[in-house]
Amino acid sequence: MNTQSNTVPESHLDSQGIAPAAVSATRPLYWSMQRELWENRSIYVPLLAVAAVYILGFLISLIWLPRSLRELGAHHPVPEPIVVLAMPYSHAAMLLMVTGLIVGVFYSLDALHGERRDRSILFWKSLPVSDLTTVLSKASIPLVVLPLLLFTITVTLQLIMLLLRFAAVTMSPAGAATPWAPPLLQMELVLLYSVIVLALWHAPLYCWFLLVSGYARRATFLWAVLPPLAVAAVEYIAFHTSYFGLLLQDRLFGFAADAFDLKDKNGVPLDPHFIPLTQLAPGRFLSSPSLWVGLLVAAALLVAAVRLRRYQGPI
Amino acid sequence: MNTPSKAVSESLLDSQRIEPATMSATRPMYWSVRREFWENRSIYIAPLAVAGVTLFGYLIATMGYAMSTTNLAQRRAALEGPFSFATGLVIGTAFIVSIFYSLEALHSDRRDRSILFWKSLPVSDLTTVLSKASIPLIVLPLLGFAILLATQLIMLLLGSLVLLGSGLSVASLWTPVFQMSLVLLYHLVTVHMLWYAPIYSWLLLVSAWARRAAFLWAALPPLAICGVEKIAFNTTHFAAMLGYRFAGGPEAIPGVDSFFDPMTQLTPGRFLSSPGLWIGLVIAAGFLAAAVRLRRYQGPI
Repeated sequence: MNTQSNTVPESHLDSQGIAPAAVSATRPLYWSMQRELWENRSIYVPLLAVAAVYILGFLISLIWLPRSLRELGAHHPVPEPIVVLAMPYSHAAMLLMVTGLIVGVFYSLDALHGERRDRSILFWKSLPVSDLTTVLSKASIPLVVLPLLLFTITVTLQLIMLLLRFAAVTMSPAGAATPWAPPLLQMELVLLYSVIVLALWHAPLYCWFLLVSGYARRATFLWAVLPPLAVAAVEYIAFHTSYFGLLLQDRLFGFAADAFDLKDKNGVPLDPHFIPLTQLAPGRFLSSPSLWVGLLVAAALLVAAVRLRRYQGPI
Repeated sequence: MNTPSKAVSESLLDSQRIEPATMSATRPMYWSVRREFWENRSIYIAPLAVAGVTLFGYLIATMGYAMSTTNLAQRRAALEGPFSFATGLVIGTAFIVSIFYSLEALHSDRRDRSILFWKSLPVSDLTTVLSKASIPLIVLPLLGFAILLATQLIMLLLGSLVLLGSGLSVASLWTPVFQMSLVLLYHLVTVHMLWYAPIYSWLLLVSAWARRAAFLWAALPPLAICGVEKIAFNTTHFAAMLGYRFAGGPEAIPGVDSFFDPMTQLTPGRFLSSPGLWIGLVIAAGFLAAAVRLRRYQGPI
C-alpha cells in the first residue's frame, strides 16, 4: 500500500514538472505565429478580398445562368458537362491559389527584412524567444498556415457559390431537371491534396526567399530573382546548355507531372478543370527523389537563415 | 547715353535676379535625382552585375567553347549568338529594377520615417515625385542602354580577337550590332519611356498610398477587375487592354527587317499618331498628380 501511494504523487509531480516545459516549448512558437498574423494582415486580407470579388462576379453571372444551363443540356452529351459545371468552382480555386502564391512569396521576402528595417528586431530579440523559433514561425506561414487558410477559404467560397446556384436554379422555370452541380466533395479532396503537394514542392523556394530576406539589406526581390537568372544566363552563353533553367522550371511546375496522372486510361490528356480522385498519384509523388532533395535543400536554407538571424542587426 | 547704360544695368540686374530663380528651379530636381542614386544603389548595381555576368559567360564562350570547336562556321555562330541574348538580359534587368524601384520609391521613406526629414527641406512634393518618376521613365532606360553598349563593345573586341586569330572577317560581327543598338534605342524611347509611362505612374501612386504590401496593392486590383469581368460578363476587354499596354503598342517588337534597314521599317509617325500613346500619357499624368497630392498628406507609417 505504501509503495503505491508513493508512486502516485511522484507521477503527479512528474507530470507537473513536465507540463511547464512542454508549454514553454510550444507556446513561443504559437505566439510567434500569432504575431505574424497580427503584423501581416496581408496574409489573409488579399485572399478574402479575392474571394469577395469572385462572389460579386458570380452573383452578376447568375442573371443569365438558367439560359446557359439549358444550352449546356441541349448541346453536350452526358459525360462532358461535369467539366463545364466544375469550371466556375475550379476557376475560383485557381485564382485563390495564384493569390496565395503571390502572398506567400512577398510575405517570405519581407518576413526577416521588415523587422530589421523598422528596427523592431531589437525588441523581438530582447524577448526569450530563440532565433530557431522565430524563423520556424515565419517559415510556417507560407508552408502551413497559408495552405490551410487557402483551403478553408476556397471551400467556404465554393459552398456559398453552390448555395447561390441552387437558389438560382430552383427559381428558374427550367427547374431541377437540368444538371447544375459538380461532384463538389471530390473536388474538395483533390483541392486539399493539391494544396499539400504545392506546399511541399515549393518549400525550397519559400525557404530561399526567407534566407534572402534575412540577408539582403535592400531590394530583396532583386536579390532573390537575379542570382538564379544570372547562373542560368552564364550557363546559356558559355556552354549553350540550359540545365539550370530546366531545374528551376521543374521546381516551379514539376509537381504536376509527379503528383497527378495527367492522362486517363486511354491516354487522353485530362482537363485540368476537373481532376477525378482516381487520377491522384500520392505514392509516386512521395517516392519522387526530387521532392526529397527539395526538402533537404529547404532545411539547409532554413538553417542558414537561423544562423544569419543570430548575427544580423537592424539596417 | 544715360538710358542705354541704365537699360544695361537694369538688364544686368534682371539677369541677376532671374539667375538665382532658375538655379533654385532646377537645382532641387538635380539633387533629388542624385539622392535617388545614393539611396537606391540597385538602380545601377543590378544592370552592372548582369552585364558583368554576361561578360563572364562570353569570356568562357570565347576562350572555351569557340576555341574548342574546329569548325569555323560553328565558331562564328558561337561568337555572334550571345549579342541579342545579352540585350534581352540587360534591358530585362533594367525593366525589373524599374518596377521594383517604383513600388519602393514613395513607400520606403515613409516606412523608415525619413520622410519627416525630407519634407523638412525646401523641396516641393512635385519636385520629389517628379525626380522619383524620372528614374524609371528616363534614367533607367538610358542607363541600361549605356551599360549594354559598353558590354557589347567589350564583347565585340573579344569576339574580334578570336575571329581575327582564326582568319575570319570581323565585319559580320560589327555591323549588325550597331544597327541593332540604333533600333534598340528607338525601342527604349518609344516603348519603355512613353508607352510604359502609365504603368510606372500607377506603381508610384500605389507606393505613395499603400501602407504595406505595395506589390499586392499594385497587382491585385487589376487582376480582380479582370476576374470579375470574366465571371460576370464572360468578356475580357480589361485584360485585353492591359495586354495591349504591356505588349508595347504599335512599335512593340521591331520586325526582323528593321535590323537591316532601320530607316524604312521604323514608323515614328504611326507611333506618335496612335491614340493609345496619348491616352496613356494623360493617364500617367493623372496618376502622377494624384501621387503628388497623396505625398502632401501622407506621413510616416
